Amino acid sequence: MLHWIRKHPALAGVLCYALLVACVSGKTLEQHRWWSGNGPVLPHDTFPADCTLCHEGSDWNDLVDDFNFDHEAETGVPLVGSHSQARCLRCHNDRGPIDVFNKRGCGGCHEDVHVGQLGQDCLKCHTQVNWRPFGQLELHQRTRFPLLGVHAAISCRRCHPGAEIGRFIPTPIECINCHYPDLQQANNPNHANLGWTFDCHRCHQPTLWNNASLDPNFPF
Amino acid sequence: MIGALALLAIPTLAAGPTTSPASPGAHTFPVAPAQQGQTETVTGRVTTFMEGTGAVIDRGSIDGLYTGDRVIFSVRGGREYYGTVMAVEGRVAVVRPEDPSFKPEPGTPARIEVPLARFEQDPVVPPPTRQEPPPVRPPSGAGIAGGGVAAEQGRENEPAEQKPNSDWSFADEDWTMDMPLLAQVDAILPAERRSSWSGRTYFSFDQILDTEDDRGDTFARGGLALFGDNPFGKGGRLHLDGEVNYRKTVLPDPYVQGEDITKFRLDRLSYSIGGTRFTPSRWEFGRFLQSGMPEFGVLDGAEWSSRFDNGDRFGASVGYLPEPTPNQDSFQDLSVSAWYRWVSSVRETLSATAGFQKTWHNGTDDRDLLIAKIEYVPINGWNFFANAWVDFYDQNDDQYKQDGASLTYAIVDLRKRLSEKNGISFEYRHQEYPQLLRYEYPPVAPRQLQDAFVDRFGFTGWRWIDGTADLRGKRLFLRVGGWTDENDAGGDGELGIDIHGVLGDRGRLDVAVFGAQGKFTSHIGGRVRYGRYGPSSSWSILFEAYQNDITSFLAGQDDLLMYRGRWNYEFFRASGFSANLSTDVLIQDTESQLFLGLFLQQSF
Repeated sequence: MLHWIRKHPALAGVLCYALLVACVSGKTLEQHRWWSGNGPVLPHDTFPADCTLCHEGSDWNDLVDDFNFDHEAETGVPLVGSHSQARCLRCHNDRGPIDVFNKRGCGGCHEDVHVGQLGQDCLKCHTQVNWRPFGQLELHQRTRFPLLGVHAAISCRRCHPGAEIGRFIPTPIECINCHYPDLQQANNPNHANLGWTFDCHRCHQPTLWNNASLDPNFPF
Repeated sequence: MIGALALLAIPTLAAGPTTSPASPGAHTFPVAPAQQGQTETVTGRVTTFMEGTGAVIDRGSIDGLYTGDRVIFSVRGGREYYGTVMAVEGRVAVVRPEDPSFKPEPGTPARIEVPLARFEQDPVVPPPTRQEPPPVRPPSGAGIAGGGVAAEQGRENEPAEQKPNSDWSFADEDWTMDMPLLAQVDAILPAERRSSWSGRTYFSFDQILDTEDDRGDTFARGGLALFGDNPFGKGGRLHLDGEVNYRKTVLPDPYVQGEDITKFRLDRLSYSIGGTRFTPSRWEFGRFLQSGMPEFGVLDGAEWSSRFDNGDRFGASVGYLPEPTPNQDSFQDLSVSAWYRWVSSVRETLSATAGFQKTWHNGTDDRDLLIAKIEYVPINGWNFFANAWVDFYDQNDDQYKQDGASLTYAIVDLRKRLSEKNGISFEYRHQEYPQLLRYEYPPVAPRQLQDAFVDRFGFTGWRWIDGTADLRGKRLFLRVGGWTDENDAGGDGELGIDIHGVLGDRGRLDVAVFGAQGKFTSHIGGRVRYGRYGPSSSWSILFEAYQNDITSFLAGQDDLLMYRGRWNYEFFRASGFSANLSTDVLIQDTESQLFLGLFLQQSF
């Protein structure tokens, strides 16, 4: 069994995940349902006085089946992606006035796992559908270390050990920082003894590391 | 009552704007004087519309409305219609639209410019309920007795009748008909609320296949984030977040090791209590990201914070810092920190925070870190954010740093949406390596600790040159940046246009050219992307080509042309399920790679 899982990690993962989803998604999200036990909801002082526009029954707990609230039209704030399916009380609760959190952007509600090191424009890298990052290669092209050769073909975690938990800074970009084991084994000639520990790019290409070309101006 | 008022309005319509006749539940109001001088905007909603009578809105005499007032209805799409108040009661008014064909839907916003002078006078029409003793709840099961005017007024004075088995079991204490709905409803304390659970599960699979036989990467992750509100009846919150992942890296390099391991990672396991409007103080225990000052990192310990009435907050924490690696090894770095956050008002438009963190690595003095940040977020105008991380060094312990304070990181962000059609932003970043005993980043050479730094400046601007996204417009954007470090300097630029409405309302074509001067390489290229972006699903295809030059490689053969293609599909469902599939192809001169990506998520 374990052998099969290791041989087919994607298939095993999807099957496990399907099982997990089946367990936790017995019912759909109660987006609009409100129950008095949930605590206070947004003050209704600006709402229409005709309660039946939204409520039905006699206990205020259920909204009408065809309840629809155009958040953008009514408030000027569009709900994008998964926010459009979030329960109202995820935002409208008793932490404080919603506009205080709203004007701080994503950081008003979501914790900053990048601990303030990547700024506040989360949408540079994340969508609002499922928070899976996108466009990392395009973003990397705007840094001082554009990815090319095999550097564009490896997992982020190989250079950013903290990537899985959102930590990217600082990341050293000198060749020696990642290729120190190669330096130690470079004996023809012995790079370490000659003091060739920096400026590797003068002789080596990032695509063909083993085919070094001698820089005629290199200071021997 | 509304029906009576509507009937009341009929003779009024015939007679024109004049004093309303007396009627059960209605009051006598003066005709609106000429609206002049300063006014206050009163907003309301249409509750019903009756043919031949007009629209009933939920604002009345207690909101300062007079018969004859002009009402503006705003309908979706931005159109406005006008009407005149024909009759007024305490909390409702009947409005006759000027356009006979206009029949506002219930819920349509309405606004009225009411002269401020009306509010400065004695209450225009004090509702009877204000002059009477606080309402007394009738005995359970007592009905409304009597009829006529007395019975109608009696109904106004009474709180809502309570059903014996209703979930709505809290009395509307001190509530009277002239107050907003739910204005005085007692809130239920967090500890009295039902327990509820929310969160997400996810699974992701990323694989890189290389034409070079011995190179490849597989990364599979399955995780759960769980929030429990009031799980123990104390009003607190439980947070659990963790994942199991499998990683396999195969490299042809004989000296750099690959990996083939399965890991479990616990990111959060904490319990917090307080921090609501009922309890200014907040405690959190366990493994968590510090809420008051996230810059101080994830903590295995405890954090306490409190809030003043004016919105200022302060707090302190103590505990061990897990290493920022997949293993998150802990109990080596003891941290003690404190912070204070000042806000200009409870709206928190302007805030400034300062905090200090002291750490010890296995009992040895390690880091003295001061972090300050400022945030200014007005609704209109420039948005500003800046932070600074300052480390304090003692050369006896930190031989690669000079005595005193040193700026380790800094961020300055400044942005403004100039109008609906254009916006600009500026950014500045500074980064150095702090000298630490703790593992915070991959090892660097002593000379990098001593003098390595990078400063980056960036500018982004965008402008709609033809319409907007909803109107099949075109958006032009420009990004330029520059950087400098201890040895070199460079920069980057990207100019592009997003054309909306291509091959359908939801279609978008993005075209961009870009170039950059990096530390070791430079490149120039172009990118074309077409996608269709719907409210619940989207897909896109991308093609990119760029020419790289290895700038300091002096032996020739230093050019590398790269092509990249990408296909991406994403959707989510009302059930909270979302998925993302992607495929990338990267073609280089001697080898190529295929990237496969799958991401599934279920929110609950």
